[in-house]
Amino acid sequence: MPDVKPDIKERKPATQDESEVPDGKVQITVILGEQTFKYAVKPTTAFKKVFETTEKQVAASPGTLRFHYNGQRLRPQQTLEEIEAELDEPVEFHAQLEQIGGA
Amino acid sequence: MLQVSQVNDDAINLYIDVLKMFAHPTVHVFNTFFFSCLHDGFTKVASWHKNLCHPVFMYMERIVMPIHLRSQNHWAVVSIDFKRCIVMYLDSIFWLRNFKFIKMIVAKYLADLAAHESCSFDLEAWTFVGSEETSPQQTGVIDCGVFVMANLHNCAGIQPWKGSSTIPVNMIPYWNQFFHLAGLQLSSSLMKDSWLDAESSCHGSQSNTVDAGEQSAMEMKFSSISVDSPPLLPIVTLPAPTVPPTPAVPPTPASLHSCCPSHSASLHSLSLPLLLSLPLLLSLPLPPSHHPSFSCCPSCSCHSSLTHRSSLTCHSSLTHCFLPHLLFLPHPLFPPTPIVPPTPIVPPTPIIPPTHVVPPAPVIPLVPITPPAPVTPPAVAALTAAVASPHQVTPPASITPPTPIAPIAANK
Repeated sequence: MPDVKPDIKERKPATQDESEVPDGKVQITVILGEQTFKYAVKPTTAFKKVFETTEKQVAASPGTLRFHYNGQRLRPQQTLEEIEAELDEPVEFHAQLEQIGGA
Repeated sequence: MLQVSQVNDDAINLYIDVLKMFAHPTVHVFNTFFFSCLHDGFTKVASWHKNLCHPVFMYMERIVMPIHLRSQNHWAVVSIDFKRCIVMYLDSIFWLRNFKFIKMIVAKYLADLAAHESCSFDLEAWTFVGSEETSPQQTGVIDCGVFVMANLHNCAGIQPWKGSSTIPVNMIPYWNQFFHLAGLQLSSSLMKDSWLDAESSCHGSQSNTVDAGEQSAMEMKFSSISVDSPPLLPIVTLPAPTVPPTPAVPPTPASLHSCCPSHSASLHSLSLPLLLSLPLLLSLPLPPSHHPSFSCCPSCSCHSSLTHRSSLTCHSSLTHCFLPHLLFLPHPLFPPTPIVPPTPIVPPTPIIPPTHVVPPAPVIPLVPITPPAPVTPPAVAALTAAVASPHQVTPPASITPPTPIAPIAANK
């Protein structure tokens, strides 16, 4: 996979175990509707990479997806350390499409 | 040329972030994604309740959630009142079918929440209120976003304006986007409707949810943000005059144009009054003549920002004329701080003008929100009394009073 960033690798669900996450990295799951994407991310890596990769996967234009962790909106500059994610439990990010309304 | 646009989630979530800073700890406002996640099942949102007082049914006063109906491109609000067991659906375009749909989902949510917390739950005890009376109805085509923000504001039961405050500098880009979006929302329907009437009807004559104290608190809020001008119509008094508690440094040309994101780096802090009253501000009937305190706009030398606003020529009339006055005043004494959670123990600010001394309410989880004691129904009289003798405004015993207040008052 040539376009995968060095420290963020896409992982196929159900083919790899939790134990295969490299040392010092945390597996996070991004859930967008029915789709899930799993990444191994360093706690100090900004989420920007995760967001961009996910947007690339679903062919969404940049900035149109919203990511949440436990109801907290994630910003591209934040890291796992910054949001104080509980690493004992699986880290799940929920992605949503932009909401717009006026009618 | 009137440029119009719809409101997206960023604008509403930003508004909610600010409301949460001012809301009582027992009132929680979820963001716009809560309902979409809830639609997929309660397990998706179980973790969203971590920061609430538990058990929710016992300790929370209200949960407010904005609702996005994607298929209809529409925003609405649901307010769940745990004390009175009332679910109120506030929709600026009321449609019975939507109400039934929301009712079904909220009923299931309450049942799931009760099961999650091992509480007893009886759906029969709950009243679902939803009609064209619960929310003012919009007449424009694209205004529901602003109505939702105003409804959220009312449902969150914001306490009276507490005086100077600042917003973390890292929120400013979102502010800019918010005002960019909100500035586009001016439309004829909003200019005609008055939220003064809307507020009372919003909380519903059906359920009598607004007590006199809350209404006086609302009045207090809008009269207390204007001191220089006599607040005849509370909402019409714009927040500008009281904003400069610090030596008013005239905005530099760079900060005047900081309403656009590219220049936002020069900003240090924002003052809050406009934001909290923004939906109300946008919906005002215009006064016949221009407001004296708005007689000049530094950026474009127009005579009155209000007449400028009434012309509705461009959204920049809002950002150009209001924001330099109201929001982007330099605050040398208030360095950017992280978002303060709405706890009653407010760190003492260095300087609080005596007019703003409004004691924060103590946390009493089991009691409905009441405004602070000194706010008496004739809000203007209370305000003038507070100005005349600030020592009468004593904070509750549980709160340590900010020490710097007394010397300042003595100097005055």
